Amino acid sequence: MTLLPEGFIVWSVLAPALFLLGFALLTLLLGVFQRDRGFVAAVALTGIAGAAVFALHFLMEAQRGSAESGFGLRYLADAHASAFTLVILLGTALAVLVGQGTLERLDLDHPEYFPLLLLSATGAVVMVSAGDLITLLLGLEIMSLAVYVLAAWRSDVRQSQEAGLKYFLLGSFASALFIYGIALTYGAGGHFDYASLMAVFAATGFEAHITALLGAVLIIAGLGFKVAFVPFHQWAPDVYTGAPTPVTTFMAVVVKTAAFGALLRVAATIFAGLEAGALGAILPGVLVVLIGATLVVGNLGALLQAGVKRMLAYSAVAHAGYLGLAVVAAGADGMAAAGFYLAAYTLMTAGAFAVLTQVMDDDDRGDTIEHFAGLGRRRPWLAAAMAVCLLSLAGIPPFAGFIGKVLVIQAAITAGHVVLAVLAVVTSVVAVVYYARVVVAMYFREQSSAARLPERPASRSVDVAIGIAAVGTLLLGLLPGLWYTLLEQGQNLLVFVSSP
Amino acid sequence: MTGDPVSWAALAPLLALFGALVNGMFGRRLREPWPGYLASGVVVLGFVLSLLAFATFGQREVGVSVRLWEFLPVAGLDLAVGFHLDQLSLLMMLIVTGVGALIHVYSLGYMHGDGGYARYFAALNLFIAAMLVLVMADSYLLMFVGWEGVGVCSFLLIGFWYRQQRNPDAARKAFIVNRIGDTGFLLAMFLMYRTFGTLTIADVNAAATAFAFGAGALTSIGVLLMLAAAGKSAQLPLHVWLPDAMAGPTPVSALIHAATMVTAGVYLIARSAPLFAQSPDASAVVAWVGGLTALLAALVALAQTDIKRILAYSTISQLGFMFVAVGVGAYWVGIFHVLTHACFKGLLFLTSGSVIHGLGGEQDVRRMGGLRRFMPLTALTALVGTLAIAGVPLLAGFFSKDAILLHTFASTLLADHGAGVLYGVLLLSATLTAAYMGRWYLLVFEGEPRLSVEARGKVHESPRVMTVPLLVLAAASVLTGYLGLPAFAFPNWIAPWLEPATATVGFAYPPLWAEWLLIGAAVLATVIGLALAWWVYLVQRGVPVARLASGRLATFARSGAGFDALYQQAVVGPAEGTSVALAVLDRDVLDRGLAASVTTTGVLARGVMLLQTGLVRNYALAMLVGAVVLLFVVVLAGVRA
Repeated sequence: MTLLPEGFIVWSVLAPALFLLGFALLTLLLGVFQRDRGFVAAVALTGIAGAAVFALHFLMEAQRGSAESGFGLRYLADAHASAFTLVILLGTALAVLVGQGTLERLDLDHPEYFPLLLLSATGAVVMVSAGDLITLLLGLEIMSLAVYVLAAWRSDVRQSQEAGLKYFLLGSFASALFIYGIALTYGAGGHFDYASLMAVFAATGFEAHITALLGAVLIIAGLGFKVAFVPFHQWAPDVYTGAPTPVTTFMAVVVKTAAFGALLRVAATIFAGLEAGALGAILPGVLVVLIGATLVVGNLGALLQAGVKRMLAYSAVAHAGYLGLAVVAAGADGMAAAGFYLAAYTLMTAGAFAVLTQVMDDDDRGDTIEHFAGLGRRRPWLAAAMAVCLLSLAGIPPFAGFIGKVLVIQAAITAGHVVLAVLAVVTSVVAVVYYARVVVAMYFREQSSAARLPERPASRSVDVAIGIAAVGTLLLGLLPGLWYTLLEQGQNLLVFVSSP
Repeated sequence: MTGDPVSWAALAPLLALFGALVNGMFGRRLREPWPGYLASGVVVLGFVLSLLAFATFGQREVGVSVRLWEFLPVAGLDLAVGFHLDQLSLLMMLIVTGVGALIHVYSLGYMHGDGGYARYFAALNLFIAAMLVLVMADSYLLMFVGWEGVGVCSFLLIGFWYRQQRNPDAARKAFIVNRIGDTGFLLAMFLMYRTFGTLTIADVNAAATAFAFGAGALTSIGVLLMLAAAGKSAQLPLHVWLPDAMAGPTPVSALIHAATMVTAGVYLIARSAPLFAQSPDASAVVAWVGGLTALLAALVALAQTDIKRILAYSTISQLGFMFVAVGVGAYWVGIFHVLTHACFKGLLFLTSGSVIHGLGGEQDVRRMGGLRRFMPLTALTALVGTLAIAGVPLLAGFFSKDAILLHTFASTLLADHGAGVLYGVLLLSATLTAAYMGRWYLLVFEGEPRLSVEARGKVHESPRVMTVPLLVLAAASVLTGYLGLPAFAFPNWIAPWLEPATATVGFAYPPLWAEWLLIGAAVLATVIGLALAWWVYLVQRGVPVARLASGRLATFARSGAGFDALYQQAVVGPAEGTSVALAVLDRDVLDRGLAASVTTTGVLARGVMLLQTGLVRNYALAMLVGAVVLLFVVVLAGVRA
């Protein structure tokens, strides 16, 4: 057994993940003794806040140019990892708030909800912090297992069971592709960590290009499943629709952020190494095709949906396409642009789903456009928040979604992918149609007698989540520099190697 | 926020914005005086902050920059949001918040019992916030934000009583005409960014100073800026919106359409002074537009019969004087006239508001007269305002107008552009000014009452909340003039103070005796004008003009020099024709094409839905096929390469 070098293990970089894990276990124990669900939720939020403090600390360190890493370069706490961790924690916190406010009403009042969310978030944090394919795989599985269970949370409802099973089966399939990709990459490069792989692939004299490319394609397939790139996206509409809405919120924002965080890092290192070698043009071509297909299919799929929940599910696919623009520009401005986009996306998507829980009935049904008709009169604040989130999703200024879109499109153009940028703009036009349809229903149509808003007291925690989402969406749109400068100026380990 | 009290003034617009938000969102739930108290409070607080900044600014040479936040630093374009506080912006802040505070207080009485009380104060606060952003901005881009903001508030307030069709129409007209000017602003910014690579005002000015004297780029930017200024400040040929804008509540006319917003154009030129000082051609455009506007509007004002429309044309004319000042390079003089004009024109509007209030909505001067007996305080303050604007010595308007005349006469920047003729034009305009303002005062307050029966029963002096602001403004209409006494014989405070913030342009001052002579000429012009009004309207009771009334000149002047009819024929008619043609094109050609593309999109969307079978095996198959195809392609491409 070889001795590890001095300073090889730096435990402190694990702090956000360990903090979440600790609180996951704590809430699991509390759930046994404590019947007050609000208290458990508060403990979960405390854990999230604690982890956020650590992540913020690392982000500030990265601003000062002293980003840390542990276990060699296998676990990173640089600007990218910390910023994405913060976005994940934000999404998790919103999912906790929405769940706290709606689970009892949906007759799903099991205390395991919170520990499962925290466990899944732990995996997500590990994914975005990974500097090594094995670490990434571990994070991916930790995150996914908990989400499989959460998707099937309503065990007495067929759609929910179906959603969980579908997600599990297809997710296993995707994991298999992913692991095969790791194996091929290891076979070609002889390393697991990104930094070494990038160096090996870019070096002159490297021969096994095709093997490495095959590995990269399978890695794209595996992670593309989680972010819902076409043709690996088909689970998303069904699972998002079938899962209980609070869980859908979590899946739509946190899982996507984690998968993109990982994909961006891989793209900025391993893919960049491959692109520097011979056959360098192939991989960007593959990505461009996948992303273009995602933009088209996601937006077209959302266009004809009658249910708002399903429309938002397709919209999540479409947004994977827009974020894909950042992936093809990952080496340059892409990482910062995606970091901004995902923060905006988390706020506006979680906000829209949170409003949805308030419109849908106690059976988690009733999400057609009819149910939104006249909402502007009946619940002006709720409708206003929904309008902010939807207009932001459509990319209309002055909301955060607009700035996000500008940033990713600009990143893609700078990286030379003009065609993709044009496609993104054209499909955005289609997107306005399906988002605006809901806004129009809320403000310009009378309430239909068939679709009544359920009479019940408003849930304070959901209101808080909606408020955070709507105000955040507006604030990030008006003052984008507050968040973007942190992303742009922070130190990213591994990236500097890619700049020749 | 630093420890420097000057930078605290950056809070002023935020305070006003806060007032606007509270009144806008929760105003309906607040009972009557509270929205007004809140709105007035934040503006008074803003005035205190401005005063503090002014007092502590002292004799500094350089302004204080307050960077608020980075908007979005991308691709070399620095979109930072920041304020620049120097002599010029501080003086404008004092005008905006000072006059603004008085008019807020006055509005407490004027808007009493109105259904839209909170809405009114929300818009008024929003206006103050936008106007402060306009004058404090450190970049043209942020200034444009304020520029558009005041435009929106002006639109909202002109159409405030939106139930009468006339008012929203006037609001729309103002907005559309202003958009033409805004296009100039945008084009100027594009050209600036292309020429200098920055939009920060200080950098643009520094770069302009280093540019070749009279360069074409500078002239183009200058003319485009003047187009913007002509829209906002109602100069030829974009002045047509201001008379109609009088449809708004009178305090709004006083604040926005006399004292502050309409002077934004003058401020824009003064702010860009180093650029204009480098370009005599652009400066000549500014000065000549101003001079012609001053003359034409004064002529038109003589024939108007609405108490507020007379003042509106008077404002257009006085703004013309200011543009001449900044055009000939006397930037401090232009701003000085902005200051004195804000006081006496604000005062005149508020007195006319007091009259309208007292008469229960009557606005036609032919049905007024003799009101001095019923409203002594209003009449007294109106007299002060009239004499000040007419240019009677020792009142504020005299000093600022005299400075404009002197500097036009002595201009070297425009020596080749007919400065002498321009002086003559201004002297004639000054005579007319005294005449129409004399007519205004005499018809309203002197002579026999010609009130309608119901107005006669109601007429009363306004409450104290309205008369106190009148008295304060009347005092200011006298005192502000002493800030800028003629420099050749007396201490002048404002010129050296404003100089570092603008630009220095040389003047060929005439000898001492000639300066006294010029002053004499100006005084003579005033006396002739006032005497004419006195003789015609008081001694002869208007008989001489009755004979002229059907003449061509009178008709011309009554119709506002025919601009509305001209635009109706030359612009509105063709535009409507084009709209109809475009509508046909849109409906019969474009929409059909679009409908086809919508159908195609719909078919494609259905295709996507068909693939979504809901069966796991199909999904897995799609994933597998996708992965295999990709792998196959990669291998094929890799082997071939």
